[in-house]
Amino acid sequence: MGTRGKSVRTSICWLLVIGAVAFSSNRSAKYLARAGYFQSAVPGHSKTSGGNEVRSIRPSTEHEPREIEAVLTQLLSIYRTRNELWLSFDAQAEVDRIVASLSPEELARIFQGLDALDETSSIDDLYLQVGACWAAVDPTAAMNAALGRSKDRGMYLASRIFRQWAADHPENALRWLDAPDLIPQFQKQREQFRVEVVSGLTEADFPLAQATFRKMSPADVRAVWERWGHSYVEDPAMRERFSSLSKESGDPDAYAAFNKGLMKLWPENDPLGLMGHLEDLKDHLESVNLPPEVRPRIDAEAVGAAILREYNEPALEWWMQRYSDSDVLPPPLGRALVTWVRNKPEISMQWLQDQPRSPQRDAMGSVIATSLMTQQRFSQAASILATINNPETRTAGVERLEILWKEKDPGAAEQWRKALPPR
Amino acid sequence: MFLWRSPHRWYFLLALLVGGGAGWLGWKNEVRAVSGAGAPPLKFRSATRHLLMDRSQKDAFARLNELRHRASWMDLTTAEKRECWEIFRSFSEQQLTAYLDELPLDNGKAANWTLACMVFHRWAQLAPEAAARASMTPPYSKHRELAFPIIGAWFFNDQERAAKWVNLNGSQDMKNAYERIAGKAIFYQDPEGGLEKAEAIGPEALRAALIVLASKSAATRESRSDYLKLLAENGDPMHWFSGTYSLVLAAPEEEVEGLLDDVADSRIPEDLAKEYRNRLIDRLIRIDHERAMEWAMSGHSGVSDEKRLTMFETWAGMERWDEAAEWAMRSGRTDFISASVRRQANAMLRNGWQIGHQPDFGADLPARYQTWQAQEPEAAGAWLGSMPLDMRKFVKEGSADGHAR
Repeated sequence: MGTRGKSVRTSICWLLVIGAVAFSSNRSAKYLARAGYFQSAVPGHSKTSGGNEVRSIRPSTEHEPREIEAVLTQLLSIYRTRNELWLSFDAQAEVDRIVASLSPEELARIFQGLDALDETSSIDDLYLQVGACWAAVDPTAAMNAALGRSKDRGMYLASRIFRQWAADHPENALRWLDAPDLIPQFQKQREQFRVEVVSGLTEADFPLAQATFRKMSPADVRAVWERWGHSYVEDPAMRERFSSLSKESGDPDAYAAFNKGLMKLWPENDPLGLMGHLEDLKDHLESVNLPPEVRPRIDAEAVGAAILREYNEPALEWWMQRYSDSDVLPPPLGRALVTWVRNKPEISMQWLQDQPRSPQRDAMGSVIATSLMTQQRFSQAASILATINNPETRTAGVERLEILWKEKDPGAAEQWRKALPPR
Repeated sequence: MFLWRSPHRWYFLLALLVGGGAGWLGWKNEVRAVSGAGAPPLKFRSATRHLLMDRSQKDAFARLNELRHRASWMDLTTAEKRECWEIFRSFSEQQLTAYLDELPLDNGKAANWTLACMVFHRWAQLAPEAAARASMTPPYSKHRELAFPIIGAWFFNDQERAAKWVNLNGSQDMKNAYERIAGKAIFYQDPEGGLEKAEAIGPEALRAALIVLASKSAATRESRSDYLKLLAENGDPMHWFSGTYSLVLAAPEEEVEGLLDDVADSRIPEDLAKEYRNRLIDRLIRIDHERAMEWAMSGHSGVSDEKRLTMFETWAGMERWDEAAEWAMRSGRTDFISASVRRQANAMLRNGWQIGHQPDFGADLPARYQTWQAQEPEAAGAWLGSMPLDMRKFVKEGSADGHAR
């Protein structure tokens, strides 16, 4: 009995141990996977992707002339009987089939016909679908027609048509945007549309994205990389791949912007991945060779991103070691400080109070005090302003505080003003 | 060697195997969940199903998954949607539900959602009751919008049965979806009596029908007047809100000024008229700034001076300061110019503006100030003197002549 009881106990113990091992191994493997361990930088689904080609909807070249009225009636009857076009996939396909057989001239007339209806605003779906098909053969004419439809909504419709068309034909859309005689309304937003199209290119056509970067302003290229950071933060394989691509791109801003996008949205449930990334970021900043005029901006972008992920202590310490003698606070870090003060006013104030006086501390103090004023923490702003050495920065802050504080609490503002040393 | 001799060696080995297996599974499932558009955890059922699939079905699933993974965080393109729909059209009910199991709907990826809508739509074409029931039970019941693709198929295949079933068994979301789709469709089928039929179905159906009627009523003064009267008689604020919104949106551009005269129509209750008028103003100011301002300034418009200033600022805010300011000077309303400088500067100070940190924030303040200064140098100078040092610097350095005091 004794031996048998013992062996049963041993077995139960072992089973419990095995269960615990299985559970913890499963859990920790999950964290490792999320952080990107043991994964190749090429995502599995891209490896197998055979053809990037998707059957495109293009009007055929052969078509018979027909009564435009009859086609219009046909389209409208599809629309009216299956009115919620966005969720009737058969009807969408049917409209495509009809439209695909039309010549550009016929498409133009159909489009005009839709315009002339008294219910135009309720048939946007149909209008957009026909518009996108027309754009595939004659983008300028299609966009012009949409723009001409209404002064206030024309651009909205034209941009939707553009987006729908560009998603399937990015190369043509980018070429169209490049044209020197682009429609004036689009010229105004050319950069913005380019950013949109290129942002969507990652998996479909990365070389095209890179080629287009050369035509874009540095700020727009940064915007694209930041979007990619947002998009791939939860996908370790893609994150890794784009991290390398951004580092290899030869543009120091690319990795800075990609990192900013990542850090902003890094999921709470992946602390392991975030820590690894921060280490990697620090190593990168310390080892990368940057021109001196670019360096502060890149560093500021990284430090600003880290502050927002509650990595403020080490990041700011790192920053102050390098920049305490500079009176310039690069805007990315300034903006991050504003958000930090809004989220953690006490911690950020305390951090500043602990810093030895320096030109950089003055610049940060001005931003932190201003941000406190927007939260109506006037007396705290006043105490920070009192520790600023630079007379010009201090005066600007004091004068602003006086205006804002007086609006809310004239008595307290007056008292504070009186206690200040005379200007 | 020690372990091998231990009496517990089998247990060790088992712990190693089970631990390794569980670890591998945890790792694998997480990789599946976070790659591309995501995939649900491996399950015995899904694994065996894959083994039993024939080649063509495997290919179809692989192609669908390839497209959604490649889209990742974006939606599918139009051409991709058409291709996916073609694939779903060839699926049996069983294949549809099998594919549904491969779609994680909780990770917010647009492509997954689009595919799920297609699957439910197709399923509702083949077996509407089963599809509707599935959409109302977990894990799909929390995705309330799935009711639309289902009703969108069912209503057009068998209106009567759909109505009966939804009434008896449908969730509130399904009833709402039914009403919205039916209201619009019934109005199209029968423009004369459609409104009454829609009302008989329910309030959402009536609203949908009224929206279509709005777009058909926007063209002339008489039709608009009739429509507004209908809304006023109905008395439901929800219908008033969506109806007038659609009416304003559908009104032809050249008619907008005529629309403003509608407001004087004595048949519209006054409290409702104001909301309608403000909505018209918001549209008109974007179409023809000057005409809108002229109308607002006229005595019979009833627009308050505060609202006029807001209109002026909307106009100026569309990167058209010079145009708006020129109008203000011509119309003897230079007070709008000074007021907009003060308001803009105040907003900047209050919202934490910092010189050089947000290049777009208040970028045209120096230009606005300059216009004011040219008109009323003393008042402008005195105001600037009351601003903080950094704001003074920004305004002075930004103005071309640089002589601001």
